[in-house]
Amino acid sequence: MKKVLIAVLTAFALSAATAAFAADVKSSEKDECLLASKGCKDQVDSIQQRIRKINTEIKKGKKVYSAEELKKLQQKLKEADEILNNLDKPGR
Amino acid sequence: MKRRNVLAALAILGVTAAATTPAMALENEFHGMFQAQYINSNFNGAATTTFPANAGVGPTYGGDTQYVPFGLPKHVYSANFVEQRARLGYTAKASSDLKLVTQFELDYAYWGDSSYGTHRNHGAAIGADQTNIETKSIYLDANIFKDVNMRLGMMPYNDSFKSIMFDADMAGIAFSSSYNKFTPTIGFFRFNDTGNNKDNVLGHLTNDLFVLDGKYEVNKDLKVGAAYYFFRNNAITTDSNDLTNIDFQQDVKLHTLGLNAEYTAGPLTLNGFGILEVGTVNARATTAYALNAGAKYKVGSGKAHAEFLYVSGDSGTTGHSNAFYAVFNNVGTAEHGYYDNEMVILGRDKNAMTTDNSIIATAGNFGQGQIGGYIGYELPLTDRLTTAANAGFAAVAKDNGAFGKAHKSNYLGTEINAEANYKLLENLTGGVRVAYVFLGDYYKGVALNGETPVNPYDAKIIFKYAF
Repeated sequence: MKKVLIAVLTAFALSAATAAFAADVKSSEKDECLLASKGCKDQVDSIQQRIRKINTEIKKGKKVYSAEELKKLQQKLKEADEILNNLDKPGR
Repeated sequence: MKRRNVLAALAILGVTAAATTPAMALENEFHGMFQAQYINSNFNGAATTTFPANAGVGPTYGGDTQYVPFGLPKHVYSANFVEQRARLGYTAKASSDLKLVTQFELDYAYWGDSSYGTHRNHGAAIGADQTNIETKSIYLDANIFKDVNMRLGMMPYNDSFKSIMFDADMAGIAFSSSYNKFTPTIGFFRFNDTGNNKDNVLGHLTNDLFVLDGKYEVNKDLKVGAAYYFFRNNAITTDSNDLTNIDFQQDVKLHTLGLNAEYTAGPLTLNGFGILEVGTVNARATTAYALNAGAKYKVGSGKAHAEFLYVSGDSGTTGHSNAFYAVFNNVGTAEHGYYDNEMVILGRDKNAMTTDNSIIATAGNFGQGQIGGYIGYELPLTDRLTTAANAGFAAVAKDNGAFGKAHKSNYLGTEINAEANYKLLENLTGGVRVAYVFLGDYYKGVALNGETPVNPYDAKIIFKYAF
């Protein structure tokens, strides 16, 4: 049992360490985040990217998502469209 | 390590993970837009619109509204200016069922307007340093029960009739639901409470809206809807048919019933609505109505569209009225707009920001109503370049001598406009839009010395970034 625990904890520790390493740029690679605002670890989607991503997922249809999940995605698409429309709303 | 210790250790790891998961689900969303546009026009920012008087709403330029060439020289100087807007929105999502939505706005009416002061829509003179941030919406959006959504606070809300009655940020509460193909909504909104100005009691000199709305998807091609709105205005506000008297007690009790439908058949989409208003508006018994029909048709790689709108009007100022009520009839506080007609000068312009003028600025159109037919065609030329052209023909439904005296004709004018938008970068678009109106005989002889004003035009170069 002791061996099992050690194995579990070692795996956990290693995975955490890997994640930490992944966040840093290797010495031989360019920092694309600094250079071109690409691949930044805290990068978030613009509203257009979000709409595109949701549409891509909805197109996968019932092969990938359940009816309930598709309904949720439709709702998220509606929300994203709403955000864009409100940003774009004309007038004083 | 003993077996129970192992279990304890795993349990702790498990608990930690469980505690972490919901915290990690908090989603912070930031969105925004920036728009700057150069305007050359003898209409926007020029003497023929309510600049700078702003229809009695404010003595300084903070958004003019209406084309009023009456009694002015037939030729006016053209305006050249740049206006700018930024909107920033932050949404805090605790889960997919609970979020706080906020949006803020920073406008410059025109570069060079003023600096160092406190004034909404200003701050673009040298030095900047203006206190000018506007809060547009702050509301809670929560799915409080299965299939029941609640929105609470200052929220954007619009009618189900192409926004010809209301489309604004308003404080209130709205519940909506979804039962298979049926989507009902019930809501209450407080537009205004003026008790504090009058007798220091809140809740009775108010201007409120009650909403019942239902949408039903008959099948994938046909959607129908019905809505009931009750407008009750007992406030002391500016939302009157009488533009010249902005400080008197309102008396609006108006029942509004509307039906709408949308039908799709292959490349063709048809939609439309009918609205009936019955009640009292400013001590006048009122029966008013509006009818709309719209069509979109995919032709080649483009899309053609057509719109028709009739809004009833009234030729008198006393007795029973057919003047249409919207939120509000005062052009300075017109919190509604009919944008489906794609007009720039004849109707409200989709690109308008602080400078927002039209020949028809409100649905009721000073009690005159409106009759309009509009056609257009959108054509994407490449992935990056899209173009569109539109034409519109509009008249008042009834001449009531608005702006001084009876007019030679009910016909307001014919607009032609064209635009081209080019995607410069992923989220940045550069565009040009030009519009010209051949004035109808409604404006014949209304300029200084009985002359007829020259036809208005507007040209914009627009840069827009949204994220």
